[in-house]
Amino acid sequence: MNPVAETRFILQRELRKSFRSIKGIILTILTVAGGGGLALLLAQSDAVRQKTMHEKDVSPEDLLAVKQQMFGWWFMDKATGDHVGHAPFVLVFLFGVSIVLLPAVVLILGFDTISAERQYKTVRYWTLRSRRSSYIMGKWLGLWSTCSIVALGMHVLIWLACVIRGEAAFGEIVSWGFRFWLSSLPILCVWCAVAVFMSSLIRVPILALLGTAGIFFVWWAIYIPFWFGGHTTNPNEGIPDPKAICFIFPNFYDRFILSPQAGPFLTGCAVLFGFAALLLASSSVLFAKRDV
Amino acid sequence: MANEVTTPDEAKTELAEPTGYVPTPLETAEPAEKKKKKKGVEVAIRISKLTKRFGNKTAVDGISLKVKAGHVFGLIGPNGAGKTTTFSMLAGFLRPTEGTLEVLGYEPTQVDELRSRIGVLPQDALLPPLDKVGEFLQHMAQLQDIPPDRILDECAKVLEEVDGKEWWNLRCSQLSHGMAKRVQLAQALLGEPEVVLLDEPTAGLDPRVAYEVRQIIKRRKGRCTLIVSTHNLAELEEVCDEACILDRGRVVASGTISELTAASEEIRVKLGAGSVPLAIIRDLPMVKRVEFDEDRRDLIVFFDRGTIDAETVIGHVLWALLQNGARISGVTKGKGLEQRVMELT
Repeated sequence: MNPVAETRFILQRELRKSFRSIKGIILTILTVAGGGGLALLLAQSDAVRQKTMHEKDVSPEDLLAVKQQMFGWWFMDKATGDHVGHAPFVLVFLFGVSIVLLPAVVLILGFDTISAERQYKTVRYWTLRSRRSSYIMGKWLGLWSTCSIVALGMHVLIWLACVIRGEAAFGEIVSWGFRFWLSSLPILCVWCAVAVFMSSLIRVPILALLGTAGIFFVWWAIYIPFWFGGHTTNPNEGIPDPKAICFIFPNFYDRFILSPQAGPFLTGCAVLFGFAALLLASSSVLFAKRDV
Repeated sequence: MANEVTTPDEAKTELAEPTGYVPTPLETAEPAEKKKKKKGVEVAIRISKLTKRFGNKTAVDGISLKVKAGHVFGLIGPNGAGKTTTFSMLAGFLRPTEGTLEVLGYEPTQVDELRSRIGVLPQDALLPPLDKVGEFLQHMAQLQDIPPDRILDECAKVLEEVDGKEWWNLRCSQLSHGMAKRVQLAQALLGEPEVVLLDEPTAGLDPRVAYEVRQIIKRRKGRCTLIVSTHNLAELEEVCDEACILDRGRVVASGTISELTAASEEIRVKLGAGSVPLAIIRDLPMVKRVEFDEDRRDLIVFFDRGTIDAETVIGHVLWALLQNGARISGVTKGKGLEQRVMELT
């Protein structure tokens, strides 16, 4: 049996397990409802904003220019800002919410994906029948697929709300919405790879949870000040650009993934998938050397 | 999520591809043929100078063993003797610190070569609690590369063998200890493996379930190479062809059960109160030496191995005892595995 077939069987079981567990069901409901609720609140505020703009007689062109400028600032990239400015505002916000919220889902769903099976030696039933690298890949694909499906659920809910509220044309909502969901997947794959790496490394689930949460927290804690720093530092002052540090953070690659140009898009994908592949390869090598 | 109740037959119609194809007996003997078998493997397991250390602690200390294909081999020893560690290395769960081991000519970590050829009942590996018994076995069968059209039959067969036909839709978390042990045994027997490793198969089971598990093991005898580790020495004596006694990570004795228990060189007669005609027994021509334990009332008669069998000696000794009015409570060949282990460990 080839490793692909082994991985496929393990993936199938992971999906079945994820959506059957109480933890999986509650998290799905909370994520879809929480993320959806948040975006709907924003849609409400967006409606107020649109009404105000209408009262102040702001033209759609002016609105587009404001959005493009704002997103250009947010993404630190004019081309991406110009491109994303055309998308319904609620969907851009949803994308932002999802890539912030989903690491928490990854953490809670993924911390014990391997550690629990190692702690109770359940993993022995698999290591006897599949390559350890296939086991790691199956676990990662299972976690990634589960989180992607949860994210899709959240996105679809908002698309429906947008269609009902008449935020934009149906086709525009679905095409942009689908693209934003797809764009969140490479970022998500890195978070999943980190969770699987930590879960394979640490045998005790609670320690795996703390370890993974620690990495996620440190990542955010480094990223946020440097992201602000990147906006406030004047390149002419001769100090190193704080933005450079942001390249270690998966979510920073959203601007590459959303870029209308092929170069940045491919670079973003290569970095994210490459980083995930590196983590998975490390997990596989370490796990193969370990006693189970 | 609701528990959907599916019987193996119903599940079969969902899983199996709709086909009128009926495999021939030769084809059903698969997947063994598909495997990259090493030709002429007469030794199922070969262990050479195997050592496993956990930090400063040496759990297994340079043991060497060979188990012939088709034999039932027992691993005996007190707690901490290194039985489970040796098992875990044979199953590829642990990596040896030093030494080599081969199962059917391959390293235990060569998963693809050994797929479906080795079955393991790990001592303390919990079943996945959320999985239903049927789907767990099906998943294991898929990973063992059992053809899709045979998976349900194979799973139903092994589940029936462990007397668990009704457990198909139960979650593993709902199983009692005895039921879980039998499901674990079922997964070890799935796909007719050539080598089956059973680590403490009856540990923690009530006598009735332990008896049933022993019967399952006995039924497998002759169909595969079985390696059994258990504290129940009487049960090992009953099912094993050969055994080795481990103590503090080392092999302190090994050989056939007959060799280990000295069954071919001594008999033991338990006597009731009264006189014991020791001189008459000593004078019997086949008797080499006689010992008598006054407190236990045990008469031990030693004879020359190879020149006469134990049954003939028993006949002569009992006749002499009865003729002289001795009261006999029981007779055994050899010293019993338990006593042998007590002497050595």
